[in-house]
Amino acid sequence: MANQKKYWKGLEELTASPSFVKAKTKEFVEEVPVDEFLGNQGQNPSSTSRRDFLKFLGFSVAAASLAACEAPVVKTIPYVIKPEEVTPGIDNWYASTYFDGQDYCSILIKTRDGRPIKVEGNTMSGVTKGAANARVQSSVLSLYNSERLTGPMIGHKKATWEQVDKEIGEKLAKGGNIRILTSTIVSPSTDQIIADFKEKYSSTKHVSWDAVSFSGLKKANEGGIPTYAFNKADVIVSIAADFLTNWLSPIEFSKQYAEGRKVGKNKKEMSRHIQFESIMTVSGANADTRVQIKPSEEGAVAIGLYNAVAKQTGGSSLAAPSFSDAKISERIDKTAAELVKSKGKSLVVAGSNDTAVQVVVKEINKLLDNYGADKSINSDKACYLRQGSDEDFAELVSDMKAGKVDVLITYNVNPVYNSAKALGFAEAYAKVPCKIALAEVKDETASGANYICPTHNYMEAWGDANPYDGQYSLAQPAIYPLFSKKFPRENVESKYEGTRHAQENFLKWSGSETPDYYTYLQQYWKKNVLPEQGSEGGDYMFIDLWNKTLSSGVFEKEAKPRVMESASSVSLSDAASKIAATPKGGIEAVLYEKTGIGNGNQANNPWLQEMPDPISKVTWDNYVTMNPGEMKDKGYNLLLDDNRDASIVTVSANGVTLTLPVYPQPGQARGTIGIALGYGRTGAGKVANGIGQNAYTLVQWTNNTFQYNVANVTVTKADGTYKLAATQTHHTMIGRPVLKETTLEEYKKHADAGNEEEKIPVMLGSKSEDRSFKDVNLWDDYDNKSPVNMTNNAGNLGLRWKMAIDLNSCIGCGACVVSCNAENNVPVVGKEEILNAREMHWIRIDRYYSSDLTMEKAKEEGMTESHRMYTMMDASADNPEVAFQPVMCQHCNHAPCETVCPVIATSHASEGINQMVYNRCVGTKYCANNCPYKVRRFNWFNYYRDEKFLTVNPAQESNEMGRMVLNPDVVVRSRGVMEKCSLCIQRIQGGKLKAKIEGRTIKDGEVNTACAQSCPTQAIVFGNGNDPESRVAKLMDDERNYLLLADLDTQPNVFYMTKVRNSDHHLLSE
Amino acid sequence: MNIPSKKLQKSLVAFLAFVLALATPNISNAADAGNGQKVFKANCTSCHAIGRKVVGPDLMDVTKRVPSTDWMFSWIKNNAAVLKTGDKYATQVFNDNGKQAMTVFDGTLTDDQIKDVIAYLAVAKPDAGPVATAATGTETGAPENKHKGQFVWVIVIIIATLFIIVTVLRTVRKSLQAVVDEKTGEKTQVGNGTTVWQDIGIWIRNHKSRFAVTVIFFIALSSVYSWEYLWGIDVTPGYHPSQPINFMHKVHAGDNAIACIYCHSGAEKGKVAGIPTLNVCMNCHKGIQGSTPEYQKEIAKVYYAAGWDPSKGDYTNPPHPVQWNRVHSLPDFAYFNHSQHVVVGKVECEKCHGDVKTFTTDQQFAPLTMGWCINCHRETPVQMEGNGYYAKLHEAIKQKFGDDKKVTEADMGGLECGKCHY
Repeated sequence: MANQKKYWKGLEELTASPSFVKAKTKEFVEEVPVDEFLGNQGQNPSSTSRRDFLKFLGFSVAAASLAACEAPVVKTIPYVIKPEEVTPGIDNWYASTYFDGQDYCSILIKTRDGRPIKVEGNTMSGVTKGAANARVQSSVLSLYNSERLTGPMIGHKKATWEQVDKEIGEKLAKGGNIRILTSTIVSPSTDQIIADFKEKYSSTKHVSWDAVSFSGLKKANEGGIPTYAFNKADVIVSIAADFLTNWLSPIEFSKQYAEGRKVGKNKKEMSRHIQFESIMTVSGANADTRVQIKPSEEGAVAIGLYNAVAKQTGGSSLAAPSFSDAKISERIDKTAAELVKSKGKSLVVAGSNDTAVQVVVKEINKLLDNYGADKSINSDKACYLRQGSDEDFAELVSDMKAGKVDVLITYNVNPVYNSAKALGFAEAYAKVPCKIALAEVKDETASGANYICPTHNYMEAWGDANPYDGQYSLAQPAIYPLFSKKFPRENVESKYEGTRHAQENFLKWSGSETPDYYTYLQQYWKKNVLPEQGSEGGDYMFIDLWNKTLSSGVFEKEAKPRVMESASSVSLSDAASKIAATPKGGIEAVLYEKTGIGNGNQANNPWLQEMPDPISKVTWDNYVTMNPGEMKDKGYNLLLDDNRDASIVTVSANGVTLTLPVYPQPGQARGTIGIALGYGRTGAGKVANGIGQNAYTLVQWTNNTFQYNVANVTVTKADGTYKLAATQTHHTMIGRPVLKETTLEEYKKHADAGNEEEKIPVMLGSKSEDRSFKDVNLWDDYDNKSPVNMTNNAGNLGLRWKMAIDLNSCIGCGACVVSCNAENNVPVVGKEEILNAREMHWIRIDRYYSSDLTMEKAKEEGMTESHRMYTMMDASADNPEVAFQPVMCQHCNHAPCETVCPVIATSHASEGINQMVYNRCVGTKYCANNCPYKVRRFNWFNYYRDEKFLTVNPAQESNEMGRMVLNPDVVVRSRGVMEKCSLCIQRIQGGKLKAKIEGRTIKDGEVNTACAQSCPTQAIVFGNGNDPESRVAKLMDDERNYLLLADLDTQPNVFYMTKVRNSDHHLLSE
Repeated sequence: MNIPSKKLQKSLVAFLAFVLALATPNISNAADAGNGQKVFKANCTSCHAIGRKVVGPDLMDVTKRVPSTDWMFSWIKNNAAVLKTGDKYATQVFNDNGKQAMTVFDGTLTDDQIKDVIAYLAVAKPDAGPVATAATGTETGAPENKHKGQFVWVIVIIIATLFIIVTVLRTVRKSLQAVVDEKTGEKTQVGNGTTVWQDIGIWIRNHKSRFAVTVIFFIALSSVYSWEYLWGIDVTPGYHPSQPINFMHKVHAGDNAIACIYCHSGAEKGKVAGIPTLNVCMNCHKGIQGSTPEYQKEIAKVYYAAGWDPSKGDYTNPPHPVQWNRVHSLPDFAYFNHSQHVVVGKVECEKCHGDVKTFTTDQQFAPLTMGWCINCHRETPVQMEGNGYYAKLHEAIKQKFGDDKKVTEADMGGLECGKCHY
């Protein structure tokens, strides 16, 4: 039976708002403002007349042709002495490690002629297994951040390193209390350096603190945070933990999660995911069952689950909590039953930073027997990814306030910006007489410091990491520090004083014998890591270990199992009573991290700012999310379009007030709001400064931990409206059925569930008959007639590129969008142009909401047309199901775009690729109008040259730093041409060439598109469909595969796989 | 007259012989300095020069500083043997020159040849030494522009002359007409009161069809020329800008037959063949300092750029990267990969770059237009033989079309846009 669900991308589509209906039929929403430059002279005397226009036209034609006569002289400057490893035009890859206190990722950095241009996941790593998220992908652009400091500063004046070292040395020698404040340090050698420093200056204390704290989790597991394995759980229950994009180690977890979620010919089982949450997170959107709770009920849910599980497994129960909705406790009982059924193969996690909640969750997992070396929680292997302690931080702040801190060294933290206002760090900071900031940019904290010692970007630096017991990785420079005083290889000096390793500061100041961090790192590894290999020390063995680790990026071995003390100073009963006392009531706010911006440390990165949020699809902004039904009740503007902007609200709690636009978020629990952290920067740089407001100010200090749930918030309507640049209704396929889904139950019964062949009525003579669309085809069969397909005729020996997109695995995280940006030089257009629906992303992720309330159902229930609209909206937008669908050029064999191009700028290749030739395109835009998938993007401006985009687009001609990120294999498109996904043709050509030079055929997986490569869940698979052994060819045989808008018979080379939900209700079959 | 002149001849010969005998030191009595110079040039100049240090020491007045001529002889013949004896002077020379062992010439040179060399060294004059000078890039040379300018002037002068002639003739005609009018008493159409333009107008009215044909002819002609001209914009075969260093392919690839790939090693590896970096130049030019003053001047620019100090034999000076004027420049929107053509397609370098071996300044040989690329793709067979990439395909094509089916690049999709434009 066909899917009867109603899908919509935004409320505008759901309610069919007039402007949406008007816009959806148009490829280009905005009219071209012809009148502006061809204005009527009579009406507007100052405007250019037709005569003038012709004069200018004539002049510019003459000028242009004159200018074109002489080709410019191009200079070519080869190296003086070529570095051995560099060959112009050939990539070099370096294995390295990314850790910014938030995401850990083992990576490969692609460099071209000495410049890093792309980051990809390292498949050799046992932790991240080749995955990388949007933030890690974007980090290559942060290297070229023009706001970076070029040399040390004393006060606000430039200084030399000698001066800085001398003055700081004197200050440190004076004695007094020294404090080092850092984010989590996973580098064991850096830890050792700080320990050495502490030895030299005995009055030193090291405080670890994370901007978004995991103190509660750490305190509940005092022996160490255990290792989680989401792939080993059949039932995953998450209480407000967004483990797919933010919680603890999201890159690793999304990879594990997808492993359990994939289905196929030989695997008809998948894990079940139940999420209890207030705001709609990416994890919640992927859940099979999503239960809306109030933020203050997170603990109650944990206790409820504990009681229900204990009842079935024979544990003692705690005092029963009460819920705002009776449905919640009903859901908890059902969930507990499922958990118990999968005892030993389940996992419960909680996002709360409340120790009490984490203690209860730990006890649930114990009852469920989830702890064990081969189980979903491995307590034998400690995780070091979050070590921050909120208590230590609070103590530091009170010491600073009391004037007890003489020297404060901050490294990789920005507490002036991102610590809770309740604690008053900023005021305390001002009281410290000597503040030293080790920072890359002059951020909010560094700008108040007495000394700023600029550090290398991670791509310029050495480093190591030990995220888990037994798992090490190295970081190595992929580029010589951009800001260096000397370039020894070229024997040149620069005007900059230069940056240095953060570690070298500590080494210098503590008078170490090895002030060079690289030497120190090697010595450290020789002394501490080499013995772990189990072999005798010795230079030979060490060089072997070092070189191997440097080349693979990682050194992994079986960790010695060590039983971690799982006890916590907080007992279960204490936890229960603390939970009972959780502040609640009124409107409750959740302060959350966005998938792109995260904790805000890379806020100045335009790729991340422009990446549409996976859920809201809003770019470049911070906003308050609210349940649409509730917004309607309060009279806020729900439908955002040309004529109506978002309402503005004032949110205040505990003396802090934020004024932000309010955005309707289907699925948000009633009585709650969500505000993203990481905005409202003042010291990040020109891209991020002034966007949104700083929600860290609202963070609460309760039970000695930072709490991101705030109760009793007042929300009042403020004057005015605000334009939010959301892409959710751009490029819509006007409600045609594009998303196919089914339930696991149906799928097990018949593998093509939800993907039944569609038939269309055909008039045969006088009678109508239902026929497959394949029988009614106006097209010549392209494939067999092509002369080139001599290769295909000769037994499918040629290449036929195919791409499979598994909707079941796509979590909507947006890593592919950023990866595509980096690979294909996609310009950043900025908020103004996104408001005009002119975003340039070649790949978009459509996020669909759906519910079971269909048109037919509404009719049965006797709703009138106008009444239905609102009722439907209320009911279906309350807690809809969510599905993600990445859409890029479908590379149709019968491409509608190709037939309408008047200049043949877009044409078809024998390998199945729809080619776009920019230099041939004259910009008629016919192709975009004729594309049913809405994947073509018109280049409205010279984004790389136009001053208007100077702030947002990094790859500007005038920006010497930003343009270094450009991929030299892909042309930078000019104004007036159409562009679109090319299936990374530069990679295909490169892969083919490599195979030809080596005299062999292409191996499967060798040629991969940027999106497929970066997908952490491998939802996108790319390969040669003519190779029967390729992964993509096998997926072509899968019953779940379907083509987008197959009834148009465009025969795309990209195909999709039906989404399977492991639901406990049978919505679709009803 | 004859007798005295004969006498004079004789005495002159005698005098010259005397002078020569005086000028030649004793040692060379039995040796031929002229032959010595030849032997020296053939065997020694890669490491030695007169008047400056190369790899080995400066040989100016060397005969005066060595312990003895016999020592010099045995040193040249077999320096290793001399060193073995622990000779003090030999050891010092060896140490002073970076402990680089000199070639043993025992067996290569005859005793007489060695003596000739010593004879030459006694009289040898210093050759002009290279002085490290700045390599300055000059403007691009486009000599044909000068001629173009002259051509325009010639046309202007012709037009001006014609104009003057027309004006004069017109005036003459007017005066004559006036005279005729006076005599006949008639008033003709042409005459006083009409301007040149009116005259032209009258002429056009009287010769409508002839005028139309002329106009159409001129429009057609100028269209054809503009069309040709527009197609030729930025198509610059023969473009040969002057370079900061006057590098000659003729000397390197031609006379010395150095393989293209030795310097342009990127051609086999990736998309750019690459301009050789200075360390590649220095592989040879550490030793070769140039045989003529012109060459020495250019090679000195290489030293300047590389930061090489020839007197110290080390890179001690600051480097100055050479800014070459690019000869072959494809637009950004066309992707070209050398290794695809050189390694996979086995295309000879000369096919696109011309007979580089004869070039004194490098110049663009091919037009580098899309039509030129496409033509080659249409005609060139794919090099399938022996390449595993094509193995299966080759077999299948043979079966289907027979052995002599020529599969061109175009058959393999070599005309598709996406092969070069992305």
